[in-house]
Parts: sequence; C-alpha cells; structure tokens
Amino acid sequence: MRRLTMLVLLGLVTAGCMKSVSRGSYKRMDMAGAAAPAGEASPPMDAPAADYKSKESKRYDDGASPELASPSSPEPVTKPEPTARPGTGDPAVEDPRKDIGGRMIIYTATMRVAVFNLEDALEKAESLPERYGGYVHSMNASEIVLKIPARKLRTAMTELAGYGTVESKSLNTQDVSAEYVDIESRIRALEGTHKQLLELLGKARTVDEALHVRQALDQVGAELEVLKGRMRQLDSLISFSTLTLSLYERGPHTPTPSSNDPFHWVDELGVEATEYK
Amino acid sequence: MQRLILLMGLAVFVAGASGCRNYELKPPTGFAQVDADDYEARMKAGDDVGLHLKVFPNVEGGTLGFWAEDLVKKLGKRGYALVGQKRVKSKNGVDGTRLDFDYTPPGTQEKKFYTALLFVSDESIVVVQLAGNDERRSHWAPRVDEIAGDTVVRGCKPWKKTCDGPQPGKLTSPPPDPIFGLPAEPSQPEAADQPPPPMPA
Repeated sequence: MRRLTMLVLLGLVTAGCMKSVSRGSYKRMDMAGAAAPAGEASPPMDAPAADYKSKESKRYDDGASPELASPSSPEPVTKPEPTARPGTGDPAVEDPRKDIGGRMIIYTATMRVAVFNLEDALEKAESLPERYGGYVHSMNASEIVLKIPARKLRTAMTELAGYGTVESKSLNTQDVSAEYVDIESRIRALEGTHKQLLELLGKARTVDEALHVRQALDQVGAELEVLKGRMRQLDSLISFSTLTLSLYERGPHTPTPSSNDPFHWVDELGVEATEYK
Repeated sequence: MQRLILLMGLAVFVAGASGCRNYELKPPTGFAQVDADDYEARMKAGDDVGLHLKVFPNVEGGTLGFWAEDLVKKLGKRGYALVGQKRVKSKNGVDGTRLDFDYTPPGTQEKKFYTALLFVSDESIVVVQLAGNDERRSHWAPRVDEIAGDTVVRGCKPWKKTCDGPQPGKLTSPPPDPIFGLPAEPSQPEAADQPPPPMPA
C-alpha cells in the first residue's frame, strides 16, 4: 500500500517535472521560432496587419488605414514565436496557426457603414459569410455580427466597405500565443500522468489501492477536460474573427459628413422636403 | 388725437396679424395649408404636389446672385438638373428668380419636377418650393409665376440694395456627386458628353 502511494506520488511529481520540462522546451522552441525568417512570422491572413500588438486596439477613419492597406510588410520578430503544433481542438476548425505564422491571435473588427438601402445591404451582408466559409453569429434591424475565417477578414471588410460610405472601422487584436502553448504543455503533461495512472491502476492489488489511483485519475481527467475545452474555445476564436457590422440608412439629402460648407440651408430644400406622398 | 390713437392701434394690429413674418403667402387655388409658422409654410394640393415656403436668415453680402448660385450648385450635386431660369417678382415688388429642375430620386425611376422661387431681402432668404410627380409639371408650371406674384417678401431695408440686386447670370447644374451604395447605372454610349454615371464605392 505504502509502495503504491509512493508510486502515485512519484507519478504526480513526474507530471510536474514534465510540465516544467515542457515550459523549458517551449523556450527552446521560441528560439527556433525567432530564428525563422521574418516573412514566415507575419500573419498571412488577409485582414489584420502584421504590426498589431497583443491586446491593442487600433482605430482609424475610412481611407486612413495604413495597417489594413499594407498587410504584407513583414514584422520584425521581436519576441519568440511558439512553433509547437496545436493540441487537441475542434476537428471542424482547421489548424489556426497554419496561416498565421505560428502566432495565436484573436481578431475582432467593427465597421459602421452608411448605406442607401438598408434592407438590401443587410441582405447582402447576411449572405457574405457563407462565401468565405463563415457564418452569421447574430443580427438585428441594423447590426449584424459575422464570424469570418481570420485569413478572409480583410477581403470581407473590403467587400463590406463597398456597400456604402464607411463612417468608422476598428480592429482589435489579442495575442493568446502564451496561453495557448501553456495549455498545450499542460495537456501533454497531464496526458502522460493519466497514462501512468492507468498503468498503476492495472497493478493495483487491493480495492483500496485501486480507489486511490482512481481518485487521482478522476482529478487528472477533469483537469484535462477543462484544458481541452479552453483549447477548443481558443481554436474557434482564433480561426473565426468576429466582425460586427453596423449599418444605417442615409437619404439623398443627407449632408456629406466631411463637408466644411458654412451654409447648410440647401440641405433643407428639395423634393423630399416638399412633396407629399 | 383720437384718430391718431386709432391709426396707431390699427398699425399695431396689422403688424400683429401678420406675425411680423418675413413672408406672406395665402394658399394658392388648389392648395390647402398643412401648417405654418414664422419660418415656413406647408401646403398640399389634391394631386400630392407640395408647396413649401422656407425662410432662412440672410447674412451680410448674401445677394440673390450668390444664393441662386449656391442653390443650383448644391442641388446639382444631389442630382437636380436645372432646366429653366427666369426672373419673377413678388407681390410687394421684390425681385426673385425662378429655378426649374428635373429630378429623379436615387434608387428610383420616378421622375419629379421641382421649382424653387428664390427671393432675397436684407433680413432673409425666402424659398418657395413646388414639387411633385413629373406628370403634374404641365399642370402647375404655368401657375408658378402666379404663386410668385402672391408671395410677400419682407425684410428689405430702404437704404440697402439687396432687394433690388441684379439677377444671377446664366446658371448650370454641376454633375451629381456619386451616391455610394447605389449600383452603377448602365453606360449610355450615345451620351458621350454626358457626365459619367455614379460609381459604386
């Protein structure tokens, strides 16, 4: 019994060691990532720019989005890039790092577009994600939230801008590389422990011994499930960018927002202001 | 003395009755008044043609020529094409300009007529607008001068020349600004000298 307890403890300690070893190997992998060509490190996805920093938000006016305009400029690698393979994730979601040079970035974009015909624009926006392999997350009378594959975000935003006059747009990024790699390492370590505990369970000679190992197995299994769930969530968020599109209708007499004309009196004149229907 | 007080009282009454408005326009035959205040009056005909009088404050240097050009230019950018321009006179002798436009609201095929009678006094710019479906143009067009002649424009200062200013020169509408969000119109090869159709964003 004492020997078995010792073995269980040894297994858990070994798992802890594996975790720290994984972290150590992550650092080594970082070095490998840093040695990779800079071009490989820049995200090849269409929309977000290479120089978006983690948890940074950039706002810019229509037509003044140099980041979006020149996405191909490679970012000098200033910090280590994780290059480990992604762990277990939703099989429906493709390897999220395949197209973004190893970085795990969640992109969230918003657009506000003034359109002439709101109904038509909403209809078009609703059918847009289907063509890009995405889906409509939610929508109401004037706002639609789209889930677009990250590498198609730029193309989708360009297409949506064509619906009317872009009043504002923004792109937020969140770099979750560190969390992602940490979860991967912890999953690997726990899987190792899980395997060892299963072996121990096979060697248990008494019910008491088996119960002790079973308890440890349950604990490890539960922790594994939590981590795998978070991994799936991250995979989904990284693979599908969230694009919130707000539309509003502008009439033919709507003044140009950028106009610096001091005399707006003619805006109040015209057929729309005179005729009865 | 009694007669003088009576006359003064009458003058005050007349001023009060007119509301000291910078305009006066009773509904022309065929129109019923929808609402009116010191700055605008709305009237409607049975065929949905609208008559809308609007008063704007004038500024120093604002002449008939200046505002007529401003109006034609800005309406032109919204798709209004000037098809006629002529001199008119208000009931109290203020010179004005009649500007006739063709207009098709963007995204529709409905042709409209739009006529603006522009009067400028020292205190205000008075615009009498008439608009409706293009089929009703021939019915109302001959009556526009009559409506101009029924309009009273106030705010002229005798020591200034704004109300007697010259007529604007011959005006032309600029090409309309593109309206983003509208599909491109089919190109018309025969109209090579026409302005290009609005381009989508």
